[in-house]
Amino acid sequence: MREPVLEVKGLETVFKTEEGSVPAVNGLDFSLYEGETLGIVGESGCGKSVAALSIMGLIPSPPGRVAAGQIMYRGEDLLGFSEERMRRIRGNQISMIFQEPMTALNPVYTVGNQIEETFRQHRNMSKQEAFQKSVQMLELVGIPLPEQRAGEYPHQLSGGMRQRVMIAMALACRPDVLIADEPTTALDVTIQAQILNLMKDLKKQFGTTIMLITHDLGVVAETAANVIVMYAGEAVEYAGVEDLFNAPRHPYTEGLLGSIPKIDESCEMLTTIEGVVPSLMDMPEGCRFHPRCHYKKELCTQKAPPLVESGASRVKCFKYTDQWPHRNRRTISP
Amino acid sequence: MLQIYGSMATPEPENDKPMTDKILEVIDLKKYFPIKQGVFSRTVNNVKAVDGVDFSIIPGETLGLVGESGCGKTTLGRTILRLQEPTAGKIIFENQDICKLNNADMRILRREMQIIFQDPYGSLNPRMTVGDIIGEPFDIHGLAAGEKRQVNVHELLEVVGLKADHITRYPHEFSGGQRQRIVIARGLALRPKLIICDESVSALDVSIQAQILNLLKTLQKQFNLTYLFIAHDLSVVKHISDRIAVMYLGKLVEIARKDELYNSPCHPYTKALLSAIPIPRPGARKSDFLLEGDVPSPVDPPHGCRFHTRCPVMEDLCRQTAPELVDIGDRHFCACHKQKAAGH
Repeated sequence: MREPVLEVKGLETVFKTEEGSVPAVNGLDFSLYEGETLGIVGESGCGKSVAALSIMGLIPSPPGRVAAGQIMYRGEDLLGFSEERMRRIRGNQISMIFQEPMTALNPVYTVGNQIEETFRQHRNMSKQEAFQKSVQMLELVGIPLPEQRAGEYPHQLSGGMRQRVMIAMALACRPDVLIADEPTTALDVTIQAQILNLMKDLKKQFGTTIMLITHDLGVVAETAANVIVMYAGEAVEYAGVEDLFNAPRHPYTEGLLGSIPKIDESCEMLTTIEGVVPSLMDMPEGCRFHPRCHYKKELCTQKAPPLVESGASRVKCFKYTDQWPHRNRRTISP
Repeated sequence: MLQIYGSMATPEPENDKPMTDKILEVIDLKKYFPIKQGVFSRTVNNVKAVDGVDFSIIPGETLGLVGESGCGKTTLGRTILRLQEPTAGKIIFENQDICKLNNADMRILRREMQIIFQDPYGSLNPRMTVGDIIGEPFDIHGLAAGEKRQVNVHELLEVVGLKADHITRYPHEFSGGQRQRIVIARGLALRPKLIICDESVSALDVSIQAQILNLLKTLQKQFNLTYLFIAHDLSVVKHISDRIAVMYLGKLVEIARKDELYNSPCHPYTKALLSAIPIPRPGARKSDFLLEGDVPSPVDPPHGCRFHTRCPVMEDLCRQTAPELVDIGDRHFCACHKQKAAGH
């Protein structure tokens, strides 16, 4: 059995607000294995970005706080690390790409400078050596004229180029784990395709373990091997990418897949999920998805469903338990 | 044809009837934004956001308009409504060149054409109740007051799937999807014929996006609406449209019926756009027709064919002359030198 590189157990992150504390992530568990690409999907507000920031130790505190759980990185709990020790991990062993390359880059430093900083922080390189390395990184991510570009400022680059710079920065120290939070959402489709290809190539080259956070199921289908579907701060389904798309188990996953128009299929109307995501302040009792679920039974309104195995997937739904009224129970495939 | 127009009550539009059959015709439309510099604000150059666009829409149809950011699709939509004055060209709405109308006549004509914007947070006045927002068009045009106005507002709320008691609430109490429903109700108030949807579902989550797309389709049938649906997401555009126009750097490069565009795209840019879309099915990638580089600046677009700097099948000719948008059969228009040469 392979050892997971990163293991998140029972993660709970809460934010204090004027109206009380809000659990943005509520008991998230997952393991990230060496060399795998794990996709985390969900709609806005489901807690996927907060989960990533919790792992990086970047939750602004106050108002945020990791209230419970463990984040084990190669056998050590990151939550117990001092800020100084976390700084040595961030950008070195675990690094992150953010959604908005414009706001994630510092506008008053040249891009070369910003990549150099990573090398100087973590590798104690001289300025010259760091510059050489930065140019190499820019070349690696496919930026033409890297030497000249290294001397330019973020506003002189296009969106796609900036995202390449972000990737160069994140991969500078050959991290163990790369967390990519909506890396292509702000980009146009043709540029998105370029960036996804680049990430795939780099993964092949360095074997980086990637945690890819996105709302785009198309991106997940194309890049991830395993997927976690999140809803209202909880993971509702864990599955291999094939299983997830061919046999979605959780009613939410099913609804989500029906909601996206597919370019290679025609249909008159899309199937929809009725209603809206509940507010984190006012979570429904029982299963958090029950007000929008059309399989719902009385049981679902009373208590939260357990996480059960169904085939190779794990799903948080009563439908796959013994408690489900028998006639309608889905057979559990071996 | 029947398949495409479905159960819509529109008369068969495809017959060789004269121009009168078009609800909207845009001829050589241009919109330049001047770049001014120096003490005297001399115009030193222009951003050619829309640079010679021709197309037409027939009643009851949905024309999708796709393109990447900065290609001019939003400017085109706004210019058609004269929210921005066109630099040159004609906009013919129901046999009337609307560029020639004065403000008073234009205001009356606006009853017939409405727009739904992308951001439902920015397009609703936070200080007005939902009832006032939806009722305002009636006040402005003096069409209904008192009880009649109230009845109309209630009816509109019901049509877009909101509740009657929402009437006294304010926009901040609603989610993004519900706000977009309010915007749609306001747009429908005056029973327009043409609605321009400018990225109307792009800011919404997928599950909400599907609800709004279905609503737009239902309303189209109910009120016999014509849509110009502007979006960057080709899957969404393909779902809702009958025909699709592809725009690149201020010009249309291809217009075709959606199935034709998808099954036999003709312009290399359309092909690239189609193959760049991630398909939500593992292992479904069709081809690796990927584009290099970025979209050039619209201030100084490339000479000849605007796409030649990124085109994988570019020839010398493409660098020198711009290709015309020509009919390659069955109302499939394409602007590419290579296509003509191939004698399609």
